[in-house]
Amino acid sequence: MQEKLLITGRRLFAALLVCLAILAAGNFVVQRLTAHTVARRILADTRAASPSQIIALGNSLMRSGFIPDSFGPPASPQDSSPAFNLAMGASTPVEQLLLFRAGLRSFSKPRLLLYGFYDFQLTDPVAFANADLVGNHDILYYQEPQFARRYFSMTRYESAAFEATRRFPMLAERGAVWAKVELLRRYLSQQGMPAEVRNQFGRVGDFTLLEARNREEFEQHCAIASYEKLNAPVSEIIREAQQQGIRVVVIVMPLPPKHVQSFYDTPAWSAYQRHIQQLLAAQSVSYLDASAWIPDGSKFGDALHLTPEGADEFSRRLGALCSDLENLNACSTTEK
Amino acid sequence: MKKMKLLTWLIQFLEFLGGERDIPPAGFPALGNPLFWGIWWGALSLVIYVFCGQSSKFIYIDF
Amino acid sequence: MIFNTWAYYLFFLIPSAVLFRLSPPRLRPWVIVLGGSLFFLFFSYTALGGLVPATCLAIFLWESFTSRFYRPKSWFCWVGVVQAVILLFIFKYWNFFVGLVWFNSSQKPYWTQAFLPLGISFFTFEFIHYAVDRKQSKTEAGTLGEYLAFILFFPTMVAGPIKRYQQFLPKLRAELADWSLDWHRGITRILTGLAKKFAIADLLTAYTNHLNVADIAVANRAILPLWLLAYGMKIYTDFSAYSDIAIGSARLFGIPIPENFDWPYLQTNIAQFWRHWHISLTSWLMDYVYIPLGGSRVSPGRVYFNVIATMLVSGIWHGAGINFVLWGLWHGVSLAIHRLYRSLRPLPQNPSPASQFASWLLTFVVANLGWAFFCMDVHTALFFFGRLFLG
Repeated sequence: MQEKLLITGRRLFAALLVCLAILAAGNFVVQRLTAHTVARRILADTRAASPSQIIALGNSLMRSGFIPDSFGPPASPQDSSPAFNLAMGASTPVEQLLLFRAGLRSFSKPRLLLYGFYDFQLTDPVAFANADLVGNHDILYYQEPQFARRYFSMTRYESAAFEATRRFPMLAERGAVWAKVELLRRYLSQQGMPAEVRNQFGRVGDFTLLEARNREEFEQHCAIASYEKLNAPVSEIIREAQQQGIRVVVIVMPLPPKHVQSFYDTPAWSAYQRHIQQLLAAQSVSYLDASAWIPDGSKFGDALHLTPEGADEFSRRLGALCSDLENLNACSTTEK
Repeated sequence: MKKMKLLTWLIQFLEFLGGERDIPPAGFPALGNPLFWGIWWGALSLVIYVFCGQSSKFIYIDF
Repeated sequence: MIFNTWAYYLFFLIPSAVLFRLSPPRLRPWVIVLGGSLFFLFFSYTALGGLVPATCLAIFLWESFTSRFYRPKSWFCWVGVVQAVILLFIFKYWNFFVGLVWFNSSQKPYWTQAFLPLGISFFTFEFIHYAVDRKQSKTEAGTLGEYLAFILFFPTMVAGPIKRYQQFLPKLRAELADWSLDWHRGITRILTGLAKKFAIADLLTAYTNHLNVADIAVANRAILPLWLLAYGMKIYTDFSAYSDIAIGSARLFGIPIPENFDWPYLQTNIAQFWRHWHISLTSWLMDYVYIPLGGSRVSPGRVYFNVIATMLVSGIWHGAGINFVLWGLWHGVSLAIHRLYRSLRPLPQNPSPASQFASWLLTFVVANLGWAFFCMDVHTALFFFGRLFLG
């Protein structure tokens, strides 16, 4: 006759302690394995970069669309480009603010900030729950977390969850681990199905999800956003830049002809653009509409991002424009 | 017959490991050993941790 | 899902289970009532979107009031049954019924704000069980607190197992012993359930998410069986994981709950499959549908009818849709065929390994083919079979 399991209180707690020890070991392993996540690499590159005069900032559109060497070739082969791409994919203005602040600490006397955006990123409120802070958003846990507290109105429960999460790499970097499982899921999902078109960021089809579903929805969003102010982190980026004497240029990034024709060639978008220009002009910020700079749809890898060829063309043109800062004054209204 | 006995034993073993039975299968010690169970719980917890994010929406995976 | 939230463990399970253990016996039912009520309110509000679903807690209070009038042989017990059926019909089946009856009309009286109170499919079945068993003197009344504890026991509230009052009551009243073993096994069971859910069930959705017309149309035909088998495995691991977590959670209270799954995919005939799959539902259907219809004590033709009717009820219970009716019919007919076959060819004393394997394979295939109607609407399921068998 087999014996029943003999468990005492002491054995139960001892087992819990062993379990906790294993989780602590897992925590350490995750910390080591995530030492080179995207956000950390950008921060490390920023610290190691030679002083740059021109900073490009934004999300994946700027990350993929701005090539420093095409923008401003170095004076000689020994020098590096005067421009630095500080943009990060899958980021909101809060993360972009943190990266910008890191750049300000690393670079001496930058003179120009090129802030790229698309659609309503300047005015849409940034709202996150702790559960949303995965992927590149995890920079909020370890890089000046006071900004996360400032810009996300957290309930007490959310606040406690945020504080608990950021102290354990296993929790803070969970997105990096989950992304591996997501790759496994995509591999399984692909079996027996026609091959998906992919680019450097992932599945091309996914990026249509980041656009409005239809023109009507987009125009409704324009109507609402035309009464909004710049969101708080964008305002803070502008404020900190100007405090350092940095000229700020806000750029509507190049977008595929389909997006421009569907959404930007509308009175609603024009009205929203005028509203943005007014807000920016009030803070002496230049505005550059580059949305139609690349009319060739083949120079876009998906619904939003430029191919390397498209990025080269955009960067060269932007570099030519910005080589003379006086030209930028003319950009604020009509440069296309 | 041997295969059926092995299958039965395996089922009982999995049920014991999974918390369904309190009595281990024949030949397996009635381990109350905290090290054994702590490691098993730790392994389960790590599996849960790794796989519990599948409802998160990953459009963009940047490595 | 509620069982994968921190709130469930930190705010409800652990505090309630600890308080239950520390409370004197006369207060223990009320600890469950308090925990269950707060659980219902919290998750109704957060998961179902607002105050209106949360007010459905009143259903439990009303039921506990009317239950005090259930007496052996009393017609009032039928009132209990009818009101539970009406609740289920209104919340779960009204729009389906309207779609069927008013199919030709442009002005259908749909309930556009329809919602499902948390766990309605399960708690109504527990209400019906109690009313019927009280009428048949199969269970004592218990106190108001004990009955409320039964219906508000939150580990089993959302997804079963469907409990029986006469099994629950003695455990509620029993002396609590060996908390360390209960917590050890409860924690093990919960962790196993969560691992099963996330690492197997959720991962398999990478396949099962393709079970729609667009993807079926373009997929390589050879992958289609894998997708259907993946669904069969996903629904098993998902549902049995919920049961694991529910049973493990109940174990923390020191209240053992009967098993709900017992390796159903290893069974060698469809009748055995149903005795090992969602056991609490199968036994409920046996006791409150099959046996009242006459069970096996009628003519063979009537027995087959009873079997099919019972499985139709099972199908409809799972979902308000024609596809669920077809799924129930699939299993009802399979059970009837199995019954007929066994009446003509009784099971040999020592079946050969080859015949056991063949029986297992047939049972496995029949069960998994049936899932096509469970997870897809009728049109998509037929399209799937068309591509699978005809190309």
